[in-house]
Amino acid sequence: MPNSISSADRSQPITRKTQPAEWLLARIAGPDRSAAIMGDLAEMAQTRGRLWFWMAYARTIVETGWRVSFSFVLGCAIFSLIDWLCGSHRIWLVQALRLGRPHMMLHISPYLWLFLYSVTTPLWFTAPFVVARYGIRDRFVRLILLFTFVMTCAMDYPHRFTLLFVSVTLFAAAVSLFWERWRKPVLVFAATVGMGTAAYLVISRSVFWGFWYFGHQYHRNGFDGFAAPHLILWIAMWAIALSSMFIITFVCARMHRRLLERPAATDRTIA
Amino acid sequence: MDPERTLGEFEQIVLLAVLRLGDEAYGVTILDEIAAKTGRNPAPGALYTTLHRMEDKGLVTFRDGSPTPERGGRAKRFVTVTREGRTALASAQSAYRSLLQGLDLLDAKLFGGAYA
Repeated sequence: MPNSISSADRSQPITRKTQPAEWLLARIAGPDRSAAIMGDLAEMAQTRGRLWFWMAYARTIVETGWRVSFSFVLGCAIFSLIDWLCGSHRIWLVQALRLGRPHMMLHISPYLWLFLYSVTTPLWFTAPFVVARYGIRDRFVRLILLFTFVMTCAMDYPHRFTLLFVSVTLFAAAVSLFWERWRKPVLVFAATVGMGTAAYLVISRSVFWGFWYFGHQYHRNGFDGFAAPHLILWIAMWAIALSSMFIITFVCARMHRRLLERPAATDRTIA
Repeated sequence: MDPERTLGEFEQIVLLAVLRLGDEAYGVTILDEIAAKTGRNPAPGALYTTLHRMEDKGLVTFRDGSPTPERGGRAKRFVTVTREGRTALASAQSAYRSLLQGLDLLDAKLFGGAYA
């Protein structure tokens, strides 16, 4: 059975101008699902009319897409909360949670600190995002939650960082090699965390090198020091965070759909 | 999958409609079947959200059919209830039957004579 039909057969008036609409739906529901939904709506619209088609389409977009939007907003909110808690004015809260133990972060290499920060910070968005998006039953979500917990602890106790990181990595590698049901979740997990870290590292370094460069130029022109206005720094920080979040969302959704969601069988595979 | 997993009312309706339709169950026919048998007219979006959620839970699977002109050349996506889906549905229906046992829903005492 052919998988497509001639262009003459695609001449139904209701389906001619729906390509942008289908593209938008595919971003939310995935290409296979969106094609089937648009086909169903087009078929039903033949007896119900164009207005019904667009009303049904709008409701479908809202009902299908609310979870994605909600997950993203929740991830941003939790990220902001943790970021706010870690601010210098609220450090007493973190200190209280740490039960008064001294903070070790200042005694480690700045490169290790940068690495820790770049891995862990995007996870504070990723963890709530994937919990709301895919649910706690998803193995990939459980891996992300475990890793977020471990890395947050490692940030607080960096002298134990190496042991924790090596343990988790070995655990994940062993699971992915010997337990088939975890192999794909580990791949999605690795891609999401890897891309999140890389995005955060590259974007944040680029922005801060930009600030350093302008500060350097400012100094060379005979001015003393350079202090970026608070608002610009705030916008830069959020631009870094949001860019990383969009990249994480994109990679996570793509990999999850490709590896962890069941593809539809076709007539050929059934036969 | 956990056989004790609870199903929502609409999930049960959709699963029953899919089972009734057999090999012809896809979005349009499921909506028609639900409308014909229950008098409800669920929104297509609600049906797709439920079907996709049940797919993620492993209760249903999909297979692509052939493209048709009235669908703008798009293929139908037929739904099949998995063994886990049947188990979950049977479990939910069994719970209903247990609760109904010994009750006469048309009993005048229970409904203030409305059905007397």
